[in-house]
Amino acid sequence: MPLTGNANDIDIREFYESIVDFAHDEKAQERYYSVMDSPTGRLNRDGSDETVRDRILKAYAMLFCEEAGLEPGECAGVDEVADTADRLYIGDMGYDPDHWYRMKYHFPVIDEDNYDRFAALVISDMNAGPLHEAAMNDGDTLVVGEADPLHMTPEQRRNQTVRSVALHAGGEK
Amino acid sequence: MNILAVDSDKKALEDIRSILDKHRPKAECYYFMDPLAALAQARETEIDVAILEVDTPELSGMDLGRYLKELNPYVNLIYLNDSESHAYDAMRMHASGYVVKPGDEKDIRYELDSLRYPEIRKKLKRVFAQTFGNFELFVDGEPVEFKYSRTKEIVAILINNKGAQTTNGEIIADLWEDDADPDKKLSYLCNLRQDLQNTFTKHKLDGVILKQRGSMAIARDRIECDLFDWMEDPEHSKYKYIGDYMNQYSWAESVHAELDEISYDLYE
Repeated sequence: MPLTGNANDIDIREFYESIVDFAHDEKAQERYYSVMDSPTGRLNRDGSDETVRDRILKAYAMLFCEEAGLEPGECAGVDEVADTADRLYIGDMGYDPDHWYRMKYHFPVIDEDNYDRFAALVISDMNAGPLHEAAMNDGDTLVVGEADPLHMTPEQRRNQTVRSVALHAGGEK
Repeated sequence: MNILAVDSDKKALEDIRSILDKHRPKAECYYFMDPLAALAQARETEIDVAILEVDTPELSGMDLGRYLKELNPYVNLIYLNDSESHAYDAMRMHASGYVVKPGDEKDIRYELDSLRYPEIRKKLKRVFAQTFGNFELFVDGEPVEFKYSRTKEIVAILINNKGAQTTNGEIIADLWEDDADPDKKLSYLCNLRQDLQNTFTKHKLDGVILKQRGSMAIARDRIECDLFDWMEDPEHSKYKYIGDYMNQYSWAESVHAELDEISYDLYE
């Protein structure tokens, strides 16, 4: 799912890096907000102009929120992102900072202030970050487990269903 | 004080429980054999002290400690390990203590009595909120500059709510009294909340704003505030209300009546 429509001038790698640098660099914050608010040239279902933020949240919903019962083309909201953020792993399922996605990128709490940034990080990483490079080189891709692993028993965590997700060149899952 | 104890050995965990029952009877204690369940608890409760076994399965005590520090930079980490092999790692994490197992009551008690971030630290307040007259926020005696003036107004709203969680909707209603363009306002509010976070992070004021999903509050025990002090004991407070309160904000007018009433009772 490409991020850009009318927002053709977006450098997705730079966008990914602006999210990684977001916490300690105000210029990165400005770049991030500017990209997120830019229109894609498409329309949302309600007729409003679709922004990159909308596009990202739709992509996140499609890829990771299948249990949330969202309509096709509906944006993931703060609850959907917060409820699914723990299920993303790099390469293999694991809860250390090298494998647990939200922990590697320091999202201890996911709320209204950062849920869209977390979704944008994942999607831009898959498009142009290390996850993209790994997918192109047959390396570690994003692995998606079941929702809410913290409230599973150790045995349930070990036996959970996992799948690998990567965006290919054409943008399809 | 909230204490989290994690040990995959049930007997060791029971030993910790009996020590805490004896030496910290007033503390709220949480005991887990599963470190991931402990992390789930820490996401819901601010943890002051975490007593962590180093070699826990799935999520090591060292990694759990790092996650806990992201949730609360002032958490006191006390590690339990079979050897001294992770003591240097613990030191680099600025852990509060390290006990070589089996350890005894004396060892744990010593660590509890010499915390890196003792509770008394919470009483040292770097932030002063002036509400009588014009609202102003000071850190270490200097007024705080925010990128947007509306951000300061959010702090004023949280103080006006006296530590209660305040929803985004309530903040929006105070900041913008009309109800046009709610989506645009929510987006603007996100920028303001980010400005608030940037400014507080710059001043190393972690834990002064308590965020929950969709709402936030001021940690009233971590700031000095003329309003809070005066309302607690109007007669003996070093601050005096003389009819001026957050003068620059129209939404604060409704509080005047309450403050006036207290003031009239006092001087009658």
